[in-house]
Amino acid sequence: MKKLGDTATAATVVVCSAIMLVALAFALGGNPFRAPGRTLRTQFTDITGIQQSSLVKYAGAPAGTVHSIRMLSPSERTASENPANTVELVLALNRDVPDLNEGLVASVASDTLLADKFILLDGGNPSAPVLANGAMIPSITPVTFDHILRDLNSTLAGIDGILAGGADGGLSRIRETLDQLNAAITEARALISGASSMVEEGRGLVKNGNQLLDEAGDLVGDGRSLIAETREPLKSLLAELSSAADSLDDMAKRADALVKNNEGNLNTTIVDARKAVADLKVAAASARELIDSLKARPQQIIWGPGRQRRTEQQQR
Amino acid sequence: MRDYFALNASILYWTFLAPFRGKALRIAATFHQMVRIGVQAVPMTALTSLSIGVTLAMQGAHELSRMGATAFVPDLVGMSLLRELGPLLVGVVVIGRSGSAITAEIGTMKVSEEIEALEVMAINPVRFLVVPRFLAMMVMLPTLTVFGNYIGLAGGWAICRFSLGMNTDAYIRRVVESAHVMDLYSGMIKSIVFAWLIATISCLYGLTVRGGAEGVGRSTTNSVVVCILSMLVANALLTAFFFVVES
Repeated sequence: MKKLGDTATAATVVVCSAIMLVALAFALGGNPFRAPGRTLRTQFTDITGIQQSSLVKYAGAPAGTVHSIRMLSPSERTASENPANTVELVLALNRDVPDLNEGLVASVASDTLLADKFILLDGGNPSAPVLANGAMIPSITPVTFDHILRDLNSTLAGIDGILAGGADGGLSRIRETLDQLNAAITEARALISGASSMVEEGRGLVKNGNQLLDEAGDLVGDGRSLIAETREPLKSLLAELSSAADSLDDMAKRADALVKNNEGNLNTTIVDARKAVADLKVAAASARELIDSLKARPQQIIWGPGRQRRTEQQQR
Repeated sequence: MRDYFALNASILYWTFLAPFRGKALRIAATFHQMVRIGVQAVPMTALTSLSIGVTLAMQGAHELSRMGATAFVPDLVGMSLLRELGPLLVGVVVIGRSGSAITAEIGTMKVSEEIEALEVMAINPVRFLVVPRFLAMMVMLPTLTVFGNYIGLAGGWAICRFSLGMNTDAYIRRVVESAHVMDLYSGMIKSIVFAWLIATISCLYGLTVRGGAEGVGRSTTNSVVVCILSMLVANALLTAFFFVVES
């Protein structure tokens, strides 16, 4: 009886343990006996951190695992769209993942710098055709911290080479550049000091400008009020000017008509006037002579003109 | 060392060859030893694993909180237990509890000339005494390791749930996502190797006891020391092996 009890107890413990082990193995590695629902293929240049059974996430949500990893042969790489791709992954998608459309892009991602890497599926156009089972999707290799460090390392190596290898030319050039930079800085300092005085002057100008602006503002205000006050009189003045202009125009028309009508008369009048003017000139000359003779001999008024001799001047 | 290899060869013979030559395994004795070595060690193993899981989670939380990375505590607990601490600590517990008992039991039989009596009765002492213990150890240590892993993870969960405020679902998901099935398998392979070492070394020291009761005590002490040291060395070698294989 005791032996039977031992057997049952031990068997129970072992069976429980086996069940727990299988459950844990399934939880960690997935069900190896169940074929994946759908698969997608993608090629990468670098899958550092990715291994078989690594997670596949669609838009951040768990969507499957990496089913297999295969390195591409040289001929496959040459035939590939991107010959830089070196490995092909088969991504097994869970059955609850909906149909995925073309335009999907795979990339290697991680939640944080320390976290495990996974394959991230992103994008896709819902109106595009649905991806077929085993379809090849494009991939992008993200810029990782390692890439940046590698690039930085090569950059530093280049600088190191310049500094070490260019001891003859490089250092002297750097020195010259530094001298030029020093001179430029000195000039810049002088400019800055000059600029500071200019700034001070500018400040005064700005102050005066402000005052002027204030005054101009006042003037504009006055002007506005003046305009407001004189608007109506000006309007009436302009209306009067307009009517005056019309009257003048009318008068000019009338004068023109008058001139046209009396042109012949005017001509005769003008000829007569010319004659009268010529007569007047003769009369004026005679009067001048009379005045001159009276000036010379005022007694003529009483005694009459008599004979008189013309002066040389008068003769000329 | 020669005795050790001879004992291993004898165990292999009586386990894998002799049953096909009409000399069956002692199944009942094996189950009896399984209960003694494994079932009765479950509480001790559970307590040890629980305390280790709790300690790992607390230490991890303390250090990772400096970087604001307490979300990685489940990763730490899961990886540590499945890969290293689970099989190692269960092995230490079994060495202290069952390995020493095997040495003392067989050593006592040796000094009381019961082994010679068995040989006189044409009963092979390896078949009669060692093989059941060996088989029981080979089955029960991995079994205890599986239990220990679960209970250690439960300890880590307790800290994450009640101290860090992480919900149960998130804890399980992090453990499952961070650990790989290879971590579990490597731990199980280690526990199988440890079981082999513990069973064979304990039995060897029991069968080679000399000098009465004092000799039994000395052999038991030496057995425990050698078992622990050989287990640690084997652990390092296996870790290096898996490291090379996985990379």
